[in-house]
Amino acid sequence: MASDGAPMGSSLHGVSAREPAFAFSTEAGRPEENDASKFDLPVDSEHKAKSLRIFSLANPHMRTFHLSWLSFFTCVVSTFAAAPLIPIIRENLGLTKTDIGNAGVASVSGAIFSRLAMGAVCDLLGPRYGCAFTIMLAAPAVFCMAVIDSAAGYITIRFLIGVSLATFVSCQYWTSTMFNIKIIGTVNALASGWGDMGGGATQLIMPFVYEGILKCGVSPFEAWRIAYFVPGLMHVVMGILVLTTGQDLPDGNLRSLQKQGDANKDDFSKVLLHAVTNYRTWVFVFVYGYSMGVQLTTNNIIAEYYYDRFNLDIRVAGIIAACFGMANLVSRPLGGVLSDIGARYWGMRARLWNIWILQTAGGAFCLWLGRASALPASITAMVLFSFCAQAACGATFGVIPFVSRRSLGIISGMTGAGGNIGAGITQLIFFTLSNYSTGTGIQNMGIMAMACTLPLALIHFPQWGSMLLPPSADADEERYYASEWSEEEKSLGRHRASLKFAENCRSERGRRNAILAGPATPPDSTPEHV
Amino acid sequence: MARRQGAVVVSLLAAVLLGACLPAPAAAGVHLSTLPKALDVTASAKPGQVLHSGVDKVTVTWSLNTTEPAGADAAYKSVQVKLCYAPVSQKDRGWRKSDDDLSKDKACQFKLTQQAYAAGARGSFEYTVARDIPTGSYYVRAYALDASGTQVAYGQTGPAAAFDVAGITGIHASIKVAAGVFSAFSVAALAFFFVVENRKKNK
Repeated sequence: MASDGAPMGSSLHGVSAREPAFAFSTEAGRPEENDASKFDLPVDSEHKAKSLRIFSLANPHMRTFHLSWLSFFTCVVSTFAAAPLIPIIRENLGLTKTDIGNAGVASVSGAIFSRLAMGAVCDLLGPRYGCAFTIMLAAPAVFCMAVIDSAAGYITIRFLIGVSLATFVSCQYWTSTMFNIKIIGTVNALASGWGDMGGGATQLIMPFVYEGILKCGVSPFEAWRIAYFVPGLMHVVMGILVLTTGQDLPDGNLRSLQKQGDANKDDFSKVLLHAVTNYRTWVFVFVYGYSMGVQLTTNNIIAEYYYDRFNLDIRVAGIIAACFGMANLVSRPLGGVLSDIGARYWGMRARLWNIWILQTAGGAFCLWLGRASALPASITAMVLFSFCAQAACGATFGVIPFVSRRSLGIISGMTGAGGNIGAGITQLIFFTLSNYSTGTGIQNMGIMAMACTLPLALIHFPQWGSMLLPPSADADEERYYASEWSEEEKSLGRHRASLKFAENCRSERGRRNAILAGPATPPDSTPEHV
Repeated sequence: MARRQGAVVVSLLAAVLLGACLPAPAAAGVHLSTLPKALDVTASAKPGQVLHSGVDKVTVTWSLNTTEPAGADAAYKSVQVKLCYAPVSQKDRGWRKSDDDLSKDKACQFKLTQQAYAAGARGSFEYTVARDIPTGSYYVRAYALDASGTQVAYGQTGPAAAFDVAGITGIHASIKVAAGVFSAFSVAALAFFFVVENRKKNK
């Protein structure tokens, strides 16, 4: 039986939505085919790759994929590089618990605004320069960490380094100029998951570099400073690689991107309006804070927790802490895959339940992690917590593309920012302003994650239903997506892409319902033949 | 790929679990409140004096407290001298918390010396403040250990009277120079590429 839904991963239609407004590529004519043969991968009419070959570095598609996820990875490494070294840094700088907590909050807060701004930067300069500017201007901040000698300086520098997390947006933007809409979901889930892995990699890299420098006879308070040059150099190297070997478009021409961008430019204020007036946006902004936010907070506190509670060596604490972040290699894409599998049978309702189950399970394992007093149980809880929380992140971005077709970019950006806001709040309440131990803080974080995932039940699509309610009989996809356009815009035919998208979304009704639903008459479409 | 990653995680976990099964350190579970304060300990640093790590020295001396009966130190085989955080340096820093259970106590993290105890005599040790001692307020505590290494008595100079240590910053001129050079290079490289490519574009 032919599958109703589109291939796996295609439901994650372009997380950054910078792909052109036409949901399908126009067949531009024969001359294109000669150019297509010069690419290593099969391409569509816009020369975007239609498949992903992970172990290739071929220009431009695969090279872009690797450059973009590696630059995001580098920024995550440097943002959380202090975390495994906190036992040394806190003694050198005389930090109190409040200082450490404030620095953790600062490290994730900078990105809230830089991620929102990065979309505009990519529009102006292209994703290649957006990425290079961020990564190379953050490098001085990383190097300056080596010369800090007070709590205030520490907090400031962690804030400035954290701003570089905006490369998440440039990463997703850049891959969406290179990869076809059918596979962009998988590509983005892989790129963002592998980038987030940096939070785990840094817990391995920094202690090992630090211990290596110690063995050279350097005292601890100097060794950690020298160790900080490693992420700094990674920034410089990645920045130069991006500038010398990267290109904005498959054809390498930035000017045509700007021309294209002008042609498809929507009115920003309208796009923003439709993003903020859709209540689902705000539910996701809130709920994402308890999958991604919890993950970012844990990256900051977990190594210190294992060092202090179980009296482990700094390297062993780093290895355990690394297991948390490194699970992103598979868990985030897995969340998206589970979302797609569920949707194949039960549609959007399965996607929503998938997020809720994963995120709540993550909260439960987090609670166990805080309570566990034996090392094996603690590590088991942590690994399960990491899988569930990270899969929930991937699953969330399996639903975001359906919230709005017109405002997808802004909603993705706002959701991402919500993750950082949740991280800041969680770190502030449970690990900075609190009077209890880190273990108790982790327990409370787990309870809060479980409670704050409940608003997911409020997400209701009239045409697909919600977690607890079935769909309305008279609602359909076309009406939902066309409602974002005014009558005037509809008369100009500007909503055609949304209608095409709506037709492709029929599979979100689930297997049974999709068969029953015939192609609905779009209520407001311009007549084809007058 | 998921399988390979799973195997890596499992082997990492196995390595850590094996490490966790290693025997606990000796002298676990002795409570400070059960120990007699039988040693009289003095430190040459006066309360409020600032010692610079790596440079200044402090001399610690210990002997049997005169209030103790003679011969009470028959079981004392060695003396372990430790540097402990004063309460002002423990405030808001849970990782330096004192605990009555000496195996869980985190207030005395720095071992100055462990040497043989001569019964009836005065022992002393001259300590150069190490370069990894952080800035803070400290006092000295000495434990008397029996033949098996378990604490059987102690003495301390604080916590009321504490001296200060000024730790090293760890910042050398070479680190400052390197940070400056690399930062400038990063910004300059970016500017260079931007200008060159803009010029090429406008040509």
